[in-house]
Amino acid sequence: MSTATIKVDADALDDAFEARGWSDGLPVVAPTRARVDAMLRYCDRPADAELGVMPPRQGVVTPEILAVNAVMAGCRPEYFPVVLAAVEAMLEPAFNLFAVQATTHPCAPCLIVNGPIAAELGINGRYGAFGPGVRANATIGRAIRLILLNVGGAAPGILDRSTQGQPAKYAYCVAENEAESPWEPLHVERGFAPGSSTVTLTAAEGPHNLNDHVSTGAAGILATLAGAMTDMGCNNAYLYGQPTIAFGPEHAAILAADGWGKDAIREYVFEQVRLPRALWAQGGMAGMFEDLFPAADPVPIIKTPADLVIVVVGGFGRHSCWLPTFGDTTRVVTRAITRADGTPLARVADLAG
Amino acid sequence: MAIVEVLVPVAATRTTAHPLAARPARLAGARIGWLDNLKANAGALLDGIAAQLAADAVAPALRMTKNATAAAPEAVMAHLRTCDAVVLAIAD
Repeated sequence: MSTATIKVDADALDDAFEARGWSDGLPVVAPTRARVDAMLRYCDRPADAELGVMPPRQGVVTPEILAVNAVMAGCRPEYFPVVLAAVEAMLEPAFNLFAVQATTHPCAPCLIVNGPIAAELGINGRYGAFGPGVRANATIGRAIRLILLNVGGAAPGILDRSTQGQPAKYAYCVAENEAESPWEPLHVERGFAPGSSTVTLTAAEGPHNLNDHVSTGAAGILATLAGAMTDMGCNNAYLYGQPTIAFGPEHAAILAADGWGKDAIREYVFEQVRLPRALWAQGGMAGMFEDLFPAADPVPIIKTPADLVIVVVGGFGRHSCWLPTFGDTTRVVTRAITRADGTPLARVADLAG
Repeated sequence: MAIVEVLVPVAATRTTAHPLAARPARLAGARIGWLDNLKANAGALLDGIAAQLAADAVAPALRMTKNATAAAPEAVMAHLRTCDAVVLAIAD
């Protein structure tokens, strides 16, 4: 299956793409044959290999169509293995991409990159990691959105029915700050080797801030966290799922110094982040999912402690954040960044030969 | 004017055909199932259809619900397969 081409006025490229519905609204890099081929140098699969079908439009996913969109997003060619692994993760049935794409909820696939490839590509996991300023974060995240639009067909108001959308639908890609984490990194917790590189996908709202510049001990930080996460308006309050806490390194260090590991934090959140059942009598979504509502009172926001995802992201400063998700209808998926035969890739540079 | 040739970023599609089930010749006496995804606007549509059916003295024989964010579980589908027709509203 070869990708079609068109000829356009180079000075009017953005208007031409926007008019055809091929754009996220920002200017794009022209996906010329030469640029797409350069991207595909970092892929050891045939350009036309079918990797799956992307809902809801049921677009056929090939390395070449992904590369076209990665070029448009401004990716450097060496970023492509991360884009490819992220797409494969989203296509796993557990991620439920159909619902993630089509829902009225504002969730967007968030990429969390672990392992040495994050440093090799310069993916930011420190200051402002969720924000602008670093090409790898911005363009890998943007490539995923363009793929969701152009392959998956998630045009706003058409097959993406998100009521309001959210800024993270432009780009949502960070690295975990493994160097400043006192704990095991996310991918190792999820069963991957410490030296491997992975990308983890979660269908999440934008980051919600957890600001505590006063507490000098774990108890205070955890109380702040519990107050912010006890949120009747988030899907996790009645649909559970796997929300993420991204601790800033300072908060993480304080917690670790007081003896708190990830599992203890998970138990704390399961026990303390709960909504009194009486609140649901006043409003909210419980009635719509009554069959899913547990007998517990107060009601936890996760089914089990293990469902809470914990990472360390950020630079200095006493901020953390949490990422509410779409709910338990989508599960967090981690994929290793590998060669076509499944061999873990130590460096993306190895692919280019 | 500089002309540039670019690759089209939109993928080909592969859809699976799902042929429509045979419609019952008449609703009177038919076993009608009802699948409600519990969303408010879907409920409004179902209520409207129910009112129309009631005018013809047709009432649902089986009412099932499903989570709006996922496919109906197999147990629900098994019940619905006992029906001659099923009414499902998709809305939000």
